[in-house]
Amino acid sequence: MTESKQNRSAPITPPRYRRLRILLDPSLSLDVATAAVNRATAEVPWENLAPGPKGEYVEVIDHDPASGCFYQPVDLSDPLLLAQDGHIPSAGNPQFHQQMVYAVSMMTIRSFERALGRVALWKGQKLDEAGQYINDPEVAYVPRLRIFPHALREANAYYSPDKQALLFGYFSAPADIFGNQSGGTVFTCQSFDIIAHETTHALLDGLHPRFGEATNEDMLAFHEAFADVVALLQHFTFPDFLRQQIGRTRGDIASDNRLAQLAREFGESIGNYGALRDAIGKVDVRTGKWERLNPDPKLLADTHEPHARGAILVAAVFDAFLAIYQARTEDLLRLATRGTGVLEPGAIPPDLVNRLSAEAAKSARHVLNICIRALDYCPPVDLTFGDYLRAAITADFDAFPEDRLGYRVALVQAFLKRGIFPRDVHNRADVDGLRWQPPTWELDDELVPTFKELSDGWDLNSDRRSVFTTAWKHRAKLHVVLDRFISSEAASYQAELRQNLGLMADQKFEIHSARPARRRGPDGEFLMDLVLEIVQTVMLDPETLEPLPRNAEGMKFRGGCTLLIDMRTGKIRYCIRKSISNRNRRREQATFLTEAGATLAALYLGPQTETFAKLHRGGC
Amino acid sequence: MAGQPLSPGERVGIRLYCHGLGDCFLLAFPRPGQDRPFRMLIDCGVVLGTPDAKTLMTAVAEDLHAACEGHLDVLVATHEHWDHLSGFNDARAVFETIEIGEIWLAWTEDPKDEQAQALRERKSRAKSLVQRALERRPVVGVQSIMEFFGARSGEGSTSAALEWLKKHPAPKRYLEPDQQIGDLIPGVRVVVLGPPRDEKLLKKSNPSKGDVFELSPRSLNALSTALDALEDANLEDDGQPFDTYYRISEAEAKDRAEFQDYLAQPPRRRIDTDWLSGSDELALQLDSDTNNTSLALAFHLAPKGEYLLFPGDAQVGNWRSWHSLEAVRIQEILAGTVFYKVGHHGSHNATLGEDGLGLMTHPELTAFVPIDEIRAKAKGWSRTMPWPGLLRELTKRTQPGNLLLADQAASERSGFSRGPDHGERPLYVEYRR
Repeated sequence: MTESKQNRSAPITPPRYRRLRILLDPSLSLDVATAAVNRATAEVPWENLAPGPKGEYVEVIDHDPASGCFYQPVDLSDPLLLAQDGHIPSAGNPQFHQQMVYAVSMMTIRSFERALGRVALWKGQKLDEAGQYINDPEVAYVPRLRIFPHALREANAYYSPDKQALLFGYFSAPADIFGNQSGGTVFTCQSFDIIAHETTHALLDGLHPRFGEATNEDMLAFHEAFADVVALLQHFTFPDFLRQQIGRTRGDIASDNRLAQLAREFGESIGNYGALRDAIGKVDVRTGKWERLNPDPKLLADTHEPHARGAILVAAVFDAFLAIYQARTEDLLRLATRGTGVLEPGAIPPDLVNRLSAEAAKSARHVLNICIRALDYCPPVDLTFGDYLRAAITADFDAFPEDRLGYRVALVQAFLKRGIFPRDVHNRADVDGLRWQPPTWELDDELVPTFKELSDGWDLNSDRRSVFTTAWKHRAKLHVVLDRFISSEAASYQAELRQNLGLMADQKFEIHSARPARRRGPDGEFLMDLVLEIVQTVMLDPETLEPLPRNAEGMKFRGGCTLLIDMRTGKIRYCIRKSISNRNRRREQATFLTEAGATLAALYLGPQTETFAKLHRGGC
Repeated sequence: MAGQPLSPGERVGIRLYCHGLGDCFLLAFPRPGQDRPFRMLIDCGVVLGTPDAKTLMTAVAEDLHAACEGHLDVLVATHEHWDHLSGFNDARAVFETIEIGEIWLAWTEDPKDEQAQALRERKSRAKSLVQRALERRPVVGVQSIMEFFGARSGEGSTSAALEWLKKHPAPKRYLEPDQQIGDLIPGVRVVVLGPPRDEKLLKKSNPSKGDVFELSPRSLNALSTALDALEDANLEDDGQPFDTYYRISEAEAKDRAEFQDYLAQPPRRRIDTDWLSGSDELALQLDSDTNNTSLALAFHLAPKGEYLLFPGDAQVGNWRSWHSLEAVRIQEILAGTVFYKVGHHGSHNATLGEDGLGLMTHPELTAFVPIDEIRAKAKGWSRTMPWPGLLRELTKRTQPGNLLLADQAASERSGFSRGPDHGERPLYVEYRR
């Protein structure tokens, strides 16, 4: 009898995380107080990696065309690197740069996925090499976002929707007047914030491809703001950095602190007096001193440039976060001060620093989750900041019907103070009134089974390729069914349904997205909604704003709705509508496009596909 | 005007050539006691890519030769763009036979002016950088912008046309904003509105709020250093971000397994030339900077306080600067404007809104747009040239028949009289007052 030489060691489960060293911002290393905390270690979900790194979601390609060369792709599976958490931070080592863009983009992707409870997908490819529409999901599927850490030789970094890629630039910086900056090369791929920001653009575009279309003043601003919010709130996931900043500010993170600042090195090297953007204050150019900026509800109306406008939304979200943090730590401060809540002068005790840091991290995580989850509750096109507030309030209500700590009140207050409020809601005092309201109409019973059939297992463990192809097939199937209900002019029911869905007759429509969203039921059980986005695109006569025949040239105008359908009952819970027939919206878009389209670039270069390239030039 | 003098009582006659997308205008002012009116030519060009442009421009030049009886009292060249100057190259032989009394140019063309020299130097650096970038990264729109400077170099270039004028034996005047010339044309005072000396305004091209985007000199340097090194292997590229130890040249990468996947991708998904996209901005900037150096003139017609407005292709900044002129009040000039040569073929940014067209309130305002929509479409500019919003506004402000687009010259407009046909439409129309 032969005994097989079986391995008798205990089974080994793969690690949950791969630890990789990164930098938070190169400027932190120039300050003795922060140098030590700048070197953070990111915990990235474990996956098998090929050199690049090339994994499931991203692929780093280090082509530097301005220098006419490539750099050797890092192999993070090398045991020597595995054992020491990757390369040591070094500006002069391209492999460290590759490691860092990989680590930060994966952290960001993970935050996104956790909040939504499902794997993230990149935007599919629409056209093939010959410029034809792709009809096969296997061909359209884009498995990996490409990351080029040294693609550009300028002060710019951007997400390219066409290439499904992030392009980072490097440039030589002037020695800064405050002496913070030594000159030398600045790498945008060495800033946690810039990487997180650009990755978020790609994630958002994957979920909402129409949000990159500037149909109103808020659209591009929202893209920027959302990317900044995700970058900012992730600052609170780095314990050493967080504790150091909490200690330095004695827990008052509404004062001048690095947690609220974005891309300081980049900001200083392009001539800003301080961070690229700061959620709570700014440095006064004359005095060189930082000061808190108080919310001004009138500012929004006079702010048009997308980054500046987006900054107002970021500030509102950050204010909400601060209010939540304060609410969560009031008791701690009373405990630490014998009930007075007033801290003694001097440093605060380490235990208090730890507890405050834990609360700050938790608050940040919660606010980030609210912000990301809101994306499932947004209209498919033509989003405004006000719509986003309604989406966030509704999403949070669905996840946590009881608002014990007043998160939603904090959000509404903060948005109101910055002049952000939905125009279609009148009572500003009523937080619950901001929620999207359930529809007063019902779907034809015939449609209900179709929706119920679509439940699938799209969650955090799904295979991304099959999720993409399944969703594609679901959309195709739904289109056939809905087409019968929507397109024909016949019965009055159909006209009514079209109106309810914000659509019109005799124009094509698309099922733009079909995806699951999880929420909590009244008894704490998990329920699932199907999120359906239905979009119609028509060409309008620029003068009369009436639809032109299909394929005519005119002003492109989109409308439709996002439906949240309860998968148990097949009933519509919310219908978030941007009606294609809305005259006001048509007029507003025409006015907006007349102003925005009046550029030399539009004249000579035509419609621009690299929306984010120019938007970010000299200012990411 | 060709041998046909102005009728008694007429104070001006303008022959507006409708030859294509380009400017060419022959003005005639009566000279009391003389048969021959005072004649002035403003620009003579057509956009690059116009079929058979040489023949076309020769026809235009021959017609104006006849019309001016071989003598121009003044020749005005507004700015260095092909669609305004190509005739001085393509129909050089005809122009050689025309006597020219004086040549007027903007101060920006003055070879002795220091500010102008610096501007020109910046412009020529930018031009060469954009051209070099274009070779690696062809972009149709950018190409079309560069075509305003004519062929790349030599005889066919716009600067060659301008050089010919500058070297012409006729005396030159380099005009300054606020300058007025009242003693030359009987009954007419010429007011120089622009180009401004203020460089901020000189660069402002867009009506939108917010500042003008500009590639910093630092970024320009970075681009040109990189191009230098790529073009000449012997040059050291001090913009390289890493020690040469790390370099794997593109040639070497072709033989390495780890880069094969990427290199096999179609160029559309690669990033070979994206780093040069900043040169698009530079080209746009170059175009609007040049347009903004347009010599903008207003002609005051005695005695009624009426004006003719010829702004060249002046863009927003140039227009804005008129509001700070000291010798004249621009509100008065615009309110008195009876004829407006629409700037930059009717683009969105070459007619100021509220503070420009908005002030042109004369009930008899007549406007002419030197546009050829088919040409503009062929260039890929269809949707915004002419700018629909501007056309709407012009239509509102003019009586029926007083607005004419050059490519619609075949249809009657009461404010204009038609010249002889040349192909599908008349070679010119005339405006008289």
